[in-house]
Amino acid sequence: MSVDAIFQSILERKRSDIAPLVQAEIDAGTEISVILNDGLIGAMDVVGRQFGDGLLFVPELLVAAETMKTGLEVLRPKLVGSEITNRGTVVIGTVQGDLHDIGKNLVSMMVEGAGFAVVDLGVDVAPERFLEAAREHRPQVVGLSALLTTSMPAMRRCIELFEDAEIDVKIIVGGAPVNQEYADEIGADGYGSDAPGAVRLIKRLVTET
Amino acid sequence: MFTQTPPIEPIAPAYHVRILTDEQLEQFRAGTFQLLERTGIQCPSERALDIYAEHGADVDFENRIVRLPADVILDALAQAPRHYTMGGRSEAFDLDLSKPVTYEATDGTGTKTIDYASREMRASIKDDVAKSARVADYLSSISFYWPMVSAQDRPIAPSLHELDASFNNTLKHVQTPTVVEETTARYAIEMARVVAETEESLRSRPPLSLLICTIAPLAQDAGAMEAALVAAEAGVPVGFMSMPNTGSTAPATIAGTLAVGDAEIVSALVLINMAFPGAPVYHSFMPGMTHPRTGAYLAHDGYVYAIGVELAHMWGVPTLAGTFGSDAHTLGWEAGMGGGLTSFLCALCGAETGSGMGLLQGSTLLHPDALVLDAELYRRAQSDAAGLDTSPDHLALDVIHAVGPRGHYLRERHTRDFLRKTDFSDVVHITDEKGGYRDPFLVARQKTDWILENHHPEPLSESQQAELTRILEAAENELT
Repeated sequence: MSVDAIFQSILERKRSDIAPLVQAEIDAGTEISVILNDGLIGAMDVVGRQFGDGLLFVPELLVAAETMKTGLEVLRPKLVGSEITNRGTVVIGTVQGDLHDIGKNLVSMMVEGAGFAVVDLGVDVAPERFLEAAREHRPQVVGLSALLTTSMPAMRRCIELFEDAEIDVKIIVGGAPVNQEYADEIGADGYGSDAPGAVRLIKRLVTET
Repeated sequence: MFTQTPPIEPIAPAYHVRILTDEQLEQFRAGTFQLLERTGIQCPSERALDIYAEHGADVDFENRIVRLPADVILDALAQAPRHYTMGGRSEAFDLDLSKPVTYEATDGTGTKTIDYASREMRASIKDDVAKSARVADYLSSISFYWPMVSAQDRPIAPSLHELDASFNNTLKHVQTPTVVEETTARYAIEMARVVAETEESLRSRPPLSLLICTIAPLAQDAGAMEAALVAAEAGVPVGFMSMPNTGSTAPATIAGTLAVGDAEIVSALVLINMAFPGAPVYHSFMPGMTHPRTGAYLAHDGYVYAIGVELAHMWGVPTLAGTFGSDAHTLGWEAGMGGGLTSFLCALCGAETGSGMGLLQGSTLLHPDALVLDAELYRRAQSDAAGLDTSPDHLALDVIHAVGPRGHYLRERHTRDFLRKTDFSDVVHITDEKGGYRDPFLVARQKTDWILENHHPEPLSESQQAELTRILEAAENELT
């Protein structure tokens, strides 16, 4: 595999190495899809499995995802207009009343690293803004993040708004105080307990749709 | 008919401990000075930025970064009162922070409740606040009340509905962590004024205090800071709680976590006393530990919260310590693991107040019986801290002499008198008909049910109730 070095730089979390490695592969004429799928996405699959197996801690997962994203930024101009398509689109944001974004950003990077287009709405996002973004970008999945117990009810309001608007999209939730029970209670389509879990969930939901 | 609210029984330690040396405290003081002068704090409130600038801070308005020289910090904090009173509905329930005791509060603000009657889990509602306030009103271990869950059935102004349910169901001081923007704060103060009855009483014995969270690392929230300013202007105490998470929003060391958290809190305390010199404030350090594999917020060991008490006192203000609270998903061994010990340690460090009783699952789940069970842990901490009475009556040498060798003490009046004075638990060691002890969980459930059936605190006057309702309606109209 000609993209071994890229693959390894993600596994070893060498943020400063990856951009020149990706650029070198582009310059060498390696197919963009190979760099993307065998290098960046392939490595993040392994990272996700390592995290799931308890081998990695959250800070290590974060730096691996940032390494991938750095490589992806080099590749991005080549993706525009290419025949490589996203696996789908995900709109993501931290719900209204909540300014915490570490977890949301990590999920965003991991989802992007899995081959999805991500529309990140940022923090303190009103339900109406999620709805507006869903209408504009037509995602398969909307991800709602919260850290504060006091902002969790905003997830419910968001889901109710989508139900009233009859938008056909899967809504998933996550964040430290959220759990499967809460997700079920408010009518979410899924709950991701961590970033790789969110990626697995999104892949499953997109396959189902 | 109403029933009497039993008197509050704060922890009164007979002895004390120090965790940090003077040199270590000085390291933290110097660290906070350095962080606030060099790194600065982000403050998105225009009003707050203006106040900082008017009082000598170096304000970068474009990036909303405030840098505070040490002398500016000290000048502002010199205005903050070391002690004050947080009022109950009557003076018997006042919290006099100059007393050498620790007053404890419930936890808040959860989003789920295990229903008091059906025992099924569901989203929390206003009536849960009312019921838990009544249970807290009955328990002597609870000196003041945090609305324990969110009034999710009241989507407009839920925090004011939580206050309404609290003021109507307990005579104890109410402290809210959910009034976090200016308009809501104005209505909350109006409600407190109704309960206090007079402007003078609102200032001297405020029945309400606010708790505002800073954002780790080194940031403030605009709405919350503006709410704090509204409260401070009215003389209502405001506390600032920092919740840095070791390993994610703070360095992966305890000392680094303390440094981040203390700087956040001090920056906010300074603002309030710049704007309103002499305003009552308090310092609250409530860090978490990042779960290395999930990033979830986990409680630290007790000594970390007790160090927060020492930092507060270093700055010359009272503290709200994190003394209870559990990550456990259900009642049991894990739920009881830390609460009593942390409460005990914080009390020995001289905490004026502490909170965290009665919720599970990282302060998200109200379990009907958890308050009664946490009250048992509290009772143990209270007893352990109380020291020993060695007066002649207690040393009992005359009784020992009278009984002599090989006798027993069962028939002695001294025994009958003192056994009656002993504070036995009414939850553990309750005998059953088989000669064993009853399951404390079942006893706690029975006690909770009994409280809800039989304890009805003195209501507010009809005019006060009507006025609270009017304020709520006005708030809902404005906030809709």
